Amino acid sequence: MNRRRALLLLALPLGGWLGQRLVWPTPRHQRGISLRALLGDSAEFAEFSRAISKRDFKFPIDHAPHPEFRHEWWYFTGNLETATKRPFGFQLTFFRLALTARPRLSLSGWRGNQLLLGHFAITDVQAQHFHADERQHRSALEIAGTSTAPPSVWIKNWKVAITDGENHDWRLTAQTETHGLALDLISIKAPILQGDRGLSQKGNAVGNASYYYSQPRLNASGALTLAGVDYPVTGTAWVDREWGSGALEVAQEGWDWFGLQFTNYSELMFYRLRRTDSTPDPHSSGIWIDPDGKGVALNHTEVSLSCLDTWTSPNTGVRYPQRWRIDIPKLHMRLAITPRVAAQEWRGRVVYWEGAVEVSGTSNQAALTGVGYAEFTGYLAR
Amino acid sequence: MNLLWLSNFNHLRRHPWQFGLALIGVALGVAIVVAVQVTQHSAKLGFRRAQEALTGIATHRIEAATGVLDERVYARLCLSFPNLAMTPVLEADVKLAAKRGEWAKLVGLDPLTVLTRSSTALSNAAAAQSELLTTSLGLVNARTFRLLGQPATATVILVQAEHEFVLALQTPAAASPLNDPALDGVILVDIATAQELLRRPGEISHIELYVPKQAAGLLARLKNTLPATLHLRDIKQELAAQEMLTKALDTNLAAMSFLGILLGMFLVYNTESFLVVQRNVLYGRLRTLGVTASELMWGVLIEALLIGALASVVGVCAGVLLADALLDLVIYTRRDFYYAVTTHELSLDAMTLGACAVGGVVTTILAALCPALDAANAPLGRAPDPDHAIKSSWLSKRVLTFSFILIAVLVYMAPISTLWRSFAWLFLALVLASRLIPFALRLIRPGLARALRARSVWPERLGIATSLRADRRIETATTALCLAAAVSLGMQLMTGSFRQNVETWLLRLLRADFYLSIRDAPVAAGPQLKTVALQLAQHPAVSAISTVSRLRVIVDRRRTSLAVYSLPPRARPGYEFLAGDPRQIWRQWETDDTVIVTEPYARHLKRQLGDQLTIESPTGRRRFKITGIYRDYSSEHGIVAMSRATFQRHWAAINVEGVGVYAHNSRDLRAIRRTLDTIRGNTRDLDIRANVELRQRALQVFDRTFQITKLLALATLLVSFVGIIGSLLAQQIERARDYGVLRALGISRIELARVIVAQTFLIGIVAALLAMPIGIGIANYLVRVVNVEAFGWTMPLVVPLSTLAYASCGVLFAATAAAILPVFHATIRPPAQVLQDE
Repeated sequence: MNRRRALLLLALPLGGWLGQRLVWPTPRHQRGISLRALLGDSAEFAEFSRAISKRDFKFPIDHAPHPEFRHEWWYFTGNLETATKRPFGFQLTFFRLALTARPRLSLSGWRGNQLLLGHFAITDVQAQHFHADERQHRSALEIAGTSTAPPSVWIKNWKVAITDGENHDWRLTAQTETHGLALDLISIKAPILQGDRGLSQKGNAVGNASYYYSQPRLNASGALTLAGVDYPVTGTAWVDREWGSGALEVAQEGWDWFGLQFTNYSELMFYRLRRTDSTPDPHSSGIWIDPDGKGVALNHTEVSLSCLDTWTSPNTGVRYPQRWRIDIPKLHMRLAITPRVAAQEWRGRVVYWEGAVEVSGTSNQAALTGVGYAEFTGYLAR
Repeated sequence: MNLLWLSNFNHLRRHPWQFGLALIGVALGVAIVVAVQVTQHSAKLGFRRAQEALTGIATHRIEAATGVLDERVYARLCLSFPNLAMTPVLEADVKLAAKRGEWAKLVGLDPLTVLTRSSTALSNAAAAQSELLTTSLGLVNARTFRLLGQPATATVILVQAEHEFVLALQTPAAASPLNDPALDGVILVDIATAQELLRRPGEISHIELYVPKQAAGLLARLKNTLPATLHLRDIKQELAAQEMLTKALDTNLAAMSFLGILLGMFLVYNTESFLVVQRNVLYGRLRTLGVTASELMWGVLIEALLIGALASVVGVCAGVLLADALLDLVIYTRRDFYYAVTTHELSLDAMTLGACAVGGVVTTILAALCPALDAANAPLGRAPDPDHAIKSSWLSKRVLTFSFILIAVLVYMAPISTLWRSFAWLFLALVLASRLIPFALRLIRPGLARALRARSVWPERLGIATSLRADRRIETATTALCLAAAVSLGMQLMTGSFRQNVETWLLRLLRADFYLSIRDAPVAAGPQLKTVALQLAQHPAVSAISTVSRLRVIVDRRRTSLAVYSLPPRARPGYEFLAGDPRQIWRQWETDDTVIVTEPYARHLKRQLGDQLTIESPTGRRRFKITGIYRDYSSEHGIVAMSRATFQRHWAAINVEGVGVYAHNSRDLRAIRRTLDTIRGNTRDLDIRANVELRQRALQVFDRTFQITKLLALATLLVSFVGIIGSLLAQQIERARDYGVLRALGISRIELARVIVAQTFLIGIVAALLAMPIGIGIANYLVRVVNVEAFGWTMPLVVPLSTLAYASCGVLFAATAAAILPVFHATIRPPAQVLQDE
């Protein structure tokens, strides 16, 4: 799922300006124009490397940044619990945005061309509380930066780094005034290449694509801090990695994304793009990964999504879908999805919903349960 | 009741001039107060907005004693306090290459840290953000863009420290917070751009941070982490402290504006008194017709309310217009204090305007209280006193005395600043003087009458005779003029003394033959002047060189101006020590850790000879002994001065801001001038001034600063001028019947005019005579009490005869001019009609 993140990515560094538009509702046409103005057309990115042909993914080096591409992200989500089964959700995301194709020579150490953004949230399921914080900094003076050996990204004391390149294991650390996380992620399944062997086409234009892989299941263990209390936790995590230089179409109104991990060691990822003209977007797609790590691609005609309930944010007044039913006849699968906490709304520069969910249902008439993460964007203008 | 209103209304209708003049008087008084309040409020707000626009929500600032921070400090802090919102700032004053003398402030920030308003503005300028971070782009608001004005290219060439650089400029969308007028004259750039353009890689000016109120522990931890050379400052506290700087100036202006309303009050008192006296017979008749005493009193009070309300509305409007004219002056003086960019933008605060209007109404009603009591006391149906000598009622006298004592007690007990209290005493003294002047008149009257009557001729003699009668209207007219003249004279004497003392001080202080500085360049003076100084020292015609540098340092935990001098023996007698032995001072000047401080510094901070000052230097806190306190009128906030040798023992090298050149003898001056001209050819913007020139320029600045004082004094005089016209007119109206008789007896219009002019002229003479001692008293008080409290400097009072003569002429002119309207009034109608009317 990269369109959502690409939009998010571009929207975030380009400032509170967009943030303001998103936070404080404005007429939709303004937003559209703004987005187009913001994202420009692909000609602007001509100097960047572009995802045109399939590539050989090499690990661990591909876990490291690809600064010759315009944007890139490291997306970590997961569900955790303490020894006494107290459940938590977490999200730690780093976005990298190159402002120019090449850094400019400068006397000043501040003159980097790379911007880094971080989103860090903890969902306290028991207390029904969502703790979220965001950060941004240019890659400069070691305050924020990326490295290749070992592959890592950081903004101040938020950091993700590869600990074992062969096994794709990560270490996550992040601390804010209210919440913190220190997790070791041990990869259970090998990275799975999305799209066409990792080349994920975004539009009709050549190069309007990105390189995209996911690590669908990692065992997480470590400590979570909330209000000064440390909780030893274990659980599962999902990693999304993507980079590219493509421009975006603006015909989408938003998207609904799900990344689900089932107790039978299978996973499902699906996103539905919602177009402004209410027609299904053919770029909506997904993948089913069996317990052995083999993927089954899903297109928008093969998955049926229906929203059963909504939740209105008391802070922004935005109404988000809450309970879902997913039918995948191809896999004989019927799932019900429920957020673990209703209020998992991001109210930073961009307003959207991303949070931990529970899933239950049947697959081939066998019971299926699990946890995961979901993301709903573009509901503000409604 | 209807009868009362009708008769009151008819009376006012028949005497529109009196009513009109009272109105104008109060309106002027209110206008002055409004003008001063609005300008002060606007200037203060403008300054605060400018500061906030740059500091935003930032609560604290980290800065180095040297003014320059290593950016690695910022990086370290960022990593040690990752949750603390902070931004690096690198700022400098830059000059526009295309426009001589125009300055802008280049402020480099991290636009990604939304902490300051300007960084918010930067990060909100979405379209430009990527360019801001990657190219040399500056954001300015539309007004600054026009000022910098190269619309065709949208680039500007700026100069800083001898090198030029080109900056592309953009204006944000109309709705952007960057268009805040508080950011006029500010060029916002990315921190990287600032470092590149200013050629200061690795350097920042300071760090701004936001520490939430509840995070006291964090603040303490931060303080402990900082090395001794860095200081954590509370921005809000500093803003408040900076606002305190102009408090003395504000108080002075406000006090002077209240003087205007005081005179307005006096005017209302006069007018209402006259109106009551005039209607005495009417009131008597009304009483017999059943109107009660309290109804009469309320009639007068409501009349005052009407005058007050109408005048306040007019006054507020006029005041706002006046404020617009005065604002630049106030901003100018403030700019001297803050070095901050403030804008000409009038901020109208409904509270202030409302308070001024209500104040005007209340003052008018208060002033009418005594006349109202007099009206209530009108004798029942009695014929008027033949000579119209109305005595104030027992009650109104008591009310006056009681209010006076009450106000005095309030002033004594009220928790106000000593400066305000001093002004309050001055006001009370003036009120007291207004009550005492009639007694003084009675004392000098017989002698004056004898002396003048013998020497004057018809028809002036008649005028003199009538104006020397014990007439209350004459007394009040004289009092009004006398008070206004005294106040104006007092202010003139004070500013005159001040100017004279400053001139003497400059004459003594400025001993070098030439003074060099870099034009308008506090920052850019840089190394060039040092080179020039070294070069000049080698010149055969130059006997000595003095240098000065100024910087802000922390002295005893307060930001203070430090002047660093290298003073050759020839320069030293320029310092007049009010405490300390000059020989001893100069002996220790370079060798010991000693400082000398200015009189205002010693006075404000209560420092004495021998006290130790703790000054924060890059090498830590150092103690310096005060060996001398010297006279200085350059800064009311005080200056600490030390020798360059002492400075260099604790600080790194510092830029030279000014150089004084001493010639061996006057024959060498021309040779030095030639050399200086050659140097000027090579050095951009080198400012060379001969001794006399510099002194004149300093005095020009002085005069400019006092312009607003002069304007206010003039306005005060105008109010009293209106007052005297009102008083005289009232008196002439009273005498209309006498004049009718005179005219009927055959006196010509010219002769009648001469009678009236003689009367007012005599009033002028008496007022001028009485105004001199009172004026000198006021000046003395202003110099010895108010000035010392406000500015901290002492000076002898100078009373030049010429000022007294000018003031007297002014009073006589005002008195004579005030006769015009009464003359017109008395001579325009045929005598028969006058007699018939009366």
